[in-house]
Amino acid sequence: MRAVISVVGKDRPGILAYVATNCAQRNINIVDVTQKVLQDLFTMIMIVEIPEDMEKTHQIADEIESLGEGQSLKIHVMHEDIFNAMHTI
Amino acid sequence: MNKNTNSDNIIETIRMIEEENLDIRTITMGISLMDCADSDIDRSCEKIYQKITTKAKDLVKTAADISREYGIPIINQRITVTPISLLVSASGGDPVKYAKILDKAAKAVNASFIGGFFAVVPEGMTAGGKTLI
Repeated sequence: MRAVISVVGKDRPGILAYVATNCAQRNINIVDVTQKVLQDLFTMIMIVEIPEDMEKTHQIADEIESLGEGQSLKIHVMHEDIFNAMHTI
Repeated sequence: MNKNTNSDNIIETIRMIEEENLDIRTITMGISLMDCADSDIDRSCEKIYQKITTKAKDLVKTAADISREYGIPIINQRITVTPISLLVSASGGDPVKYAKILDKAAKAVNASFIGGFFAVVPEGMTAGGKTLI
């Protein structure tokens, strides 16, 4: 599925590498990345392609989200469609 | 990235979910009980229980899967059924039996609500509707 990974947290070196490495290990293809640093707050949005398999997709999404724990990062993995639905009439 | 998935929209959506508790309040599964009508109320109840617990057995799991996939919470899983007054019309007997079996079936599949214990009367009350009310 095409998903959006969003990462928010205090800026420091290596956040992009940390998330991207973990994606690569799980065979997640990164399609697009955009990131901003507002004052100290790091915000990154990745559009990714997660291999199709319902059970596995959920497990991978949970794993990616839990990467933020202990790293003072908030990571969300959500289906891309939710954003299309939210912003299209 | 298409126009809908620009970063501002994404952040706005996440903020709505995180801070303003945006959620999907309820998903509802409609189940017709017309084929459970029987002249014997106990048999009718048995058929209802079987049908609901079969049809809705994956309701809660499916809701959880959708919730996980889209990253948006789904709070309630609801079942709605055919107005019970129609079944009372066929079976007679004490409608409370239907209420109890609906409750039991909903509990068995972990649904948050079950609706349908009502009578449709705008076109006039049937005997079944009257008994139920």
